[in-house]
Amino acid sequence: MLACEPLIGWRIIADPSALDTAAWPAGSTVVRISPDDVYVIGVAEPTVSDPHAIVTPEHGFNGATLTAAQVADIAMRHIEWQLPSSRPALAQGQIAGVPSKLVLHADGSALLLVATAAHHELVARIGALA
Amino acid sequence: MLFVTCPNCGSRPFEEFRYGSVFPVTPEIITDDDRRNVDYAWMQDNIEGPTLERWFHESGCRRWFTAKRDTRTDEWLDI
Repeated sequence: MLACEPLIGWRIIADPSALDTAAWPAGSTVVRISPDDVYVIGVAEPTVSDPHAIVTPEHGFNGATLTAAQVADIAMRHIEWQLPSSRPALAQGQIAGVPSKLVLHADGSALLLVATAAHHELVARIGALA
Repeated sequence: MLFVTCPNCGSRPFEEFRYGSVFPVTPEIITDDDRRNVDYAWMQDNIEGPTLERWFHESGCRRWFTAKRDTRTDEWLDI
């Protein structure tokens, strides 16, 4: 079964240009949910140039690291839409009917993100992986 | 399956979205502010053909967007 652990990160709602130009520390994972919304993991306390930005701790996601083979397995069995062909990329949508995000890395692996309240359901629906 | 193209996330199945409403367009010939408000809130045109609509990508980026759909064919004309 998938090990989907709670994540502690930061959620930043800010002007898109401030997020475009923000400098994130090396090693951090930046998930650009929408032009004005970003979720960052691995940062002590992020700052952006927008003085009106909302920067708040985000405890609402669980995550699991997937190998390239596991990504392919999930895509084949549980995703009804097309994954992006380029890497790195962010793919957002339903996986096994549960709203999820896939942070696709250049090496083919991925970070699977799902709302904490729904992670048991997603893990149960995905079941055993390749 | 019907697919909708989210401007942030790309093409996704219809089930991921929530329909908001027809994007209300008040005719310019209505000039009185109160009458414009009434028309905006209550007068649904129920257009047959290309219609501006509001959609919410509930299972993805969770953002609203405006799309143009032909209600006769379910063809997405412009997003």
